[in-house]
Amino acid sequence: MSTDSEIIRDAEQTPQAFAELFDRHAVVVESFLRRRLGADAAEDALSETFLIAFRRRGSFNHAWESARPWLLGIAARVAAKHRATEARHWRAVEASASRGEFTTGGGIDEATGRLDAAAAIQALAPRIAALSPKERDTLLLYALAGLAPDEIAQALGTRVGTVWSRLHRIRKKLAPAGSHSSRLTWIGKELDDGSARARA
Amino acid sequence: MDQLEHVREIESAPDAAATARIARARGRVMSEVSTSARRRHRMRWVWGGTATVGGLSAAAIAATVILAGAVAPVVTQPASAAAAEVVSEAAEMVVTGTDPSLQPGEYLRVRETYELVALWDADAGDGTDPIAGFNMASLLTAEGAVLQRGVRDLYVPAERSGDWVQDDRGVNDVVQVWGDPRTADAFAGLVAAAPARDADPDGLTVLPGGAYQRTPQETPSPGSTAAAPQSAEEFYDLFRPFYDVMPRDPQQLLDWYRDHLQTSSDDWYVFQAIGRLLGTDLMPADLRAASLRVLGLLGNVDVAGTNGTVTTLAMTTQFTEETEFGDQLVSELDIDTSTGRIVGIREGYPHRSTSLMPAGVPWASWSIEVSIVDSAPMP
Repeated sequence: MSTDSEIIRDAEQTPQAFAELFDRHAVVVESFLRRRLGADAAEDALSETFLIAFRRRGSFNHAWESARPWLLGIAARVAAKHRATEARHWRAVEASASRGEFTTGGGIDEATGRLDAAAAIQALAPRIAALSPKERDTLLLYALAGLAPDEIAQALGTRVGTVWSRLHRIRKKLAPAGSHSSRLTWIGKELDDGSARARA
Repeated sequence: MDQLEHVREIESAPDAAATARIARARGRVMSEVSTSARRRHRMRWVWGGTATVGGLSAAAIAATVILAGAVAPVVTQPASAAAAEVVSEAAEMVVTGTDPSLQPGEYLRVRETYELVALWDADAGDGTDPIAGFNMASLLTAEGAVLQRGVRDLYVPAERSGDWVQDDRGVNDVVQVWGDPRTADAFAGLVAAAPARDADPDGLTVLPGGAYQRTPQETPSPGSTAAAPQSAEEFYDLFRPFYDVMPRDPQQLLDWYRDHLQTSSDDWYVFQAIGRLLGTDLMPADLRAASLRVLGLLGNVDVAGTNGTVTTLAMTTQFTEETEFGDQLVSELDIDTSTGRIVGIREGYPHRSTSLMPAGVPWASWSIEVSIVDSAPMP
C-alpha cells in the first residue's frame, strides 16, 4: 500500500491520485472540523481543507510518512478563518450540555458520570472558546484529532517543546478554580502512558 | 475523569450524516482537482471562462490534454496567404486605434458566453456518484453527453489599478442532451451535488488591480525542504508583468509564446491562447498587433469563412495517431476585422466518433463581447 507521501508525489503528475489521500483522512478531518465548527460549516471547511492541501501538495514535507498532521494543520487554519462560527458552536455546545443533550461516544459512564460530564463540558466550552487561537488549535488537535505532541508540532509548524508548554498552559486555563491536584493528575497520566517520556 | 478527557468526549458520537457530507465534499474536491489537472497542462486561465464549470469543463477539455500530451502533430504547412492577409489587416486596425475610451467610473465589461460538451459515464465511480460520472467519462465509454451554456463577465474599471470584478453568478443552461435518457437526471444531480460549480450565488470576485487574491500560504515547518512559495502576483491578464519585455517582432514573439506557454510543438495551443489574450483587449495595442501577426506565422492556418466584418481562421492539427477523438483537431478564431478583436473561439474534432452525438458540434466554444457599462456588481 502506498504511503501518503507516495500518493502526494503521484498527485504531482496525476492529480486524480489525490482522491486516495482524501479517502484515507476525510473522516478524521471532517470529525475535527465538525466538532470545532458544527455540522453545517464542516462540509465546506472539509472541501476547503483538501483543496488547499491539493494546491499546496508541492510543499508537503516528504520526510513525513503520514499526511494526517499536515492535513489537520491546514484544517486548523481553515477553522481559524471561521472564528465567529466556531464561537457560536462552542456556545451551542455549552447550551446543549446545560440541557443534558451533549453527545459523546459512550465513553462516559452512566448516570452520575453523564451528569458530571455534562457539567464539565458546560464549564469547558466557554473556556475553550476563550483560549488564544494557537492554544485552541493545540488543544483540539490533541484532544479531538488525537495527534501526539510531535505531530501537533508538525501540523502547526512549531517546536514540540512549544506544544508541551502550550498544553501545560491550557490545562491551567481549563481547570476549574482551585483544582491544582487534578492538573497534577493529568500530567501524571501522560507520564504513565509513556507519551511524555517518549516525546518530551 | 480529567478535563482533557472531557474535551475528547465533546460531540464524539458518530454522526450519521457525516458520510453524506464527506461524499459531497469529495465530489467538490475532485471536481476542482480535475480542473487543476487541465490547468497544469494548459497554463492557468487560457480557458479561464470555464473555471466556474468545474468538473464539467474538465471533462470537456480533457480531450485536448490527452491529444497534446500523447501525440505529436505531423509536419505543418505554412499559413495560407489569405490568412496572413487577414491578420495583417486586423493588426493595422489595432494599431490605428479603435479601443473603446472609458470615462472615470465606467467599466469595460468583457462577457464570455461559452458552450461545452460534458460526457457522462453511467458506470464511473460506483455508479452512484454524479460527479464521478461526469469527471471520469471518455468518448468511448460515455453513455450520454450534455451541451451546456454559461456566461461569465469581467468588469475592468477605467482606472485599471482599481477593483476588477469577476461575475460567475450566471446559471449554466442545458442546451442539448444526447444518448442515455438518464443523462439529464445525472446532470441535474451533478448541479445539485455541487451547485457552486454551476451557478455560484456568491460568485462575485474582486480582483484588486486585476490581481487574484493569493490563498494564505501554509507555514512550512522548521527544517522543511519544501519549495519556497511563489511570491509574484498573479493577474487576470496573465502576461501583464511581461508586456514591456515581450518582443514586438512577430517571429520573436512566436518564440516567446512557445517558451512561456511551455509548448514547443503544439502550436494549436499558441493559436488558442492568443485568441484568449486578444479577446479581452487588455494588452497594449502594439503587442496585440504583433500577436495577430503571429497567427499568420503558424502552420496550417487558413480562412474558413467570412460573415460581415467577421472572418474565421481555422487551424487544423493532424495527429499521427488515432485517438478516441479521431486524428484531427480544428481550432477556430473569429476575428472582427473592423476592430482587430477576437470575438469567437471554437475547438472541434471533426473525425471523432459520432455514435453518441452528431458531427459538427464544437467540443468547446466561446463568444466574447466587449462593451462599456456605468457600473459593476459588487459583492
